[in-house]
Amino acid sequence: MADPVGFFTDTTVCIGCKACQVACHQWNDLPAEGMQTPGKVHLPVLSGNSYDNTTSFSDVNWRHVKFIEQFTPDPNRSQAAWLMMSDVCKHCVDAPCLEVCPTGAILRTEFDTVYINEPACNGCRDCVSACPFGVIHMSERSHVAQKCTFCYDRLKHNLTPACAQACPTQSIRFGKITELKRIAQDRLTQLKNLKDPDGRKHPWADKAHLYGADEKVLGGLNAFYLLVDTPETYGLPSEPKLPSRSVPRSSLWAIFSALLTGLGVLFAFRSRTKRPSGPQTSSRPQTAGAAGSGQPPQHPPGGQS
Amino acid sequence: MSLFAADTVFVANPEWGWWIVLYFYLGGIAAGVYFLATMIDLFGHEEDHELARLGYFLAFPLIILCGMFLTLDLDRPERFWHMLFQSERVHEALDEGWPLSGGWETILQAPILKYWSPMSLGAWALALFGLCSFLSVLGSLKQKGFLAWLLRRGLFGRLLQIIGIAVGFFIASYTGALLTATNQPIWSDSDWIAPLFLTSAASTGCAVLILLSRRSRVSAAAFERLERADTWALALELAVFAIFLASLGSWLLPLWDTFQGKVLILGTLGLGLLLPLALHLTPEAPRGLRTTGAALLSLAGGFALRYGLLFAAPALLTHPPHMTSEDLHRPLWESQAGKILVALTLTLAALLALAVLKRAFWSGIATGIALGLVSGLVCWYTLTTPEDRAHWQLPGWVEISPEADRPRGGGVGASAFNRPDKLQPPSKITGQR
Repeated sequence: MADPVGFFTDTTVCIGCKACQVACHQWNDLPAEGMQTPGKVHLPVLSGNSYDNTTSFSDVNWRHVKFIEQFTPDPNRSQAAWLMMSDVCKHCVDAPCLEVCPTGAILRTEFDTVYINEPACNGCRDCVSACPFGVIHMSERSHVAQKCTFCYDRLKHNLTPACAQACPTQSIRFGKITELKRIAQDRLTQLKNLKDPDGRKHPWADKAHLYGADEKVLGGLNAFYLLVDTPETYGLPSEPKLPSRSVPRSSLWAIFSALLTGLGVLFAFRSRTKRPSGPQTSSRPQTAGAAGSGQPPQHPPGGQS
Repeated sequence: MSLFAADTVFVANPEWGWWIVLYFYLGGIAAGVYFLATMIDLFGHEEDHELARLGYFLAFPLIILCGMFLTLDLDRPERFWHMLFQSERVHEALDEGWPLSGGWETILQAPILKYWSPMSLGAWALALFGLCSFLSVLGSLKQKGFLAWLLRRGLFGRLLQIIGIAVGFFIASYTGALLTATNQPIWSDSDWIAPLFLTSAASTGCAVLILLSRRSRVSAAAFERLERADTWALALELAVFAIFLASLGSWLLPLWDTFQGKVLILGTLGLGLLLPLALHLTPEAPRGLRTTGAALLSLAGGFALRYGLLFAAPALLTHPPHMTSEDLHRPLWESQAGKILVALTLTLAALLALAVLKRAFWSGIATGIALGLVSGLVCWYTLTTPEDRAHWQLPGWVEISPEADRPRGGGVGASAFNRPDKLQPPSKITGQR
């Protein structure tokens, strides 16, 4: 097993050029959105209200550069700020998609990344419902689950993933996790001491934090981020859950209910068998019903003592 | 800065649609019918065995239909068997000449069962239940003879039925756990969907057998038992439904704002629970209404439950609620809905306990205690937030998944069935597609 690798994305130096998105499309032969059906020409969909034209992850957008437009609350919106972030599959250390996948198509590679083995996927979409980041989508071409592969083939040949290779500002850094964590900490310290030209504390100094570098989010994210606002501002959940965590609780209540159902019905079926009469014929229905329902059905099994 | 709920949920829609609704519904009915048919077989009179037979004859085709629906729902239906066997290993075994000239060692390693994933377990359970219900159908072909004795009477038959009931109960409830084991709104917010589906399976199964019994010769005693079993199942489902609503916390409010949520709450509660229960508890009601009417209502309610729950989560994704995330983390009690829920639960509990108390003292006391516990649970959920309840959750050692708390670079985790070392990803470098 090789050393775990990952991406450290420093959002403060992202300039929104989308080179990563283009590199991803090129290397992985991903068509433009809306151009998937061969023989049919569609115009690529544009959002029309932002520089963000792909607006979300999709089966062909494994990277998505987000443009988060922030304005001051005054009526004139006198000041504006732009947060930019190149979002990608987080290759979670405790991965929800991999955990639920019933076919074993989603697997952990020797680099600690999460990879979808397409020939095994049968399109049940359990991974789509499990991913808290909305990363996975179904392919319109091959009808299997699609997401960032962390350029598994390039890793196997000692190459940097296409997006990190293309990033002109080193916003996306690729490397061993241990090394990336050190770089991230250094950058964080630098931001914490950041001063405005007039000597006052820079607004980022208080807000800067790492997301996914430690174990808090799904055991850690192999693609982790330096953010200068709340995770939610960037479209990242603060406390995503590993799906299996709810299973013991659900099962416990279900077993409890199954016992109650079973015992209750058993009781409903047993309580009259002592009646000495032989088999009765069906024609005489519910005249005994009133007396019968004197036996209340609600009480808990075993409550009749 | 307060965030809107839309800014806290980022999941994508898995687009589980009508096939899945039908599967949840019919799978529950199949399990319920099989369970009750076995009960009739065990405790009924000789002449009631005809009804049990009808039950088995219904459960088997229903579960086959379910398997077909699930296959049709897949984006790659021809790969349905990948749920049970690792496709790579099967192909490998075939290359080694399985089954004629070797490959047995490989094929024996092919089955895949991830017991922490409800869908993986469910696939096996469906196969097992299909087998059990098929054998029960075989045993029901003739009322007498070797097959009937072996598969419906003798020790093996009883064992088969008990396994069938257990697997049936599993199928009825795992679908709920499957919804909970996601990161979708509503689905992942309650631990009570699995028990809710289970009790609903029992009540809809009862309803189907009551309807079937109109067409077959059945003793008055058996019919009375069925009706009593149905009342019990409905009462239990009502209790679980109240707890389920409370366990959603403040998510109950955006749920109510969707059309699907209204179908879920009004349809299940009104049509499927309160009306049939009231009919069962009113001996003066006309017999037809009390039996056929109540059964049909209960079936409609069971459908509303599956439909509403399955479509509510995507509805909330496309039309996010206009609530801040702080509002969603407040106790339900702070809203009107919370107070109504508690008041309704307490009133219903008191009425039911009094109604039973009038007829039999000790049963009334027992009912009162049980309903008190249910009301207590509803109040607890209403008054607390998910953060408060975090202290009460199961301890860490109950983690069932090898993926939970897997450290960085810490081995295969939930990926134990995969062998990346053997995998050659398609690549432009090697020219391999």
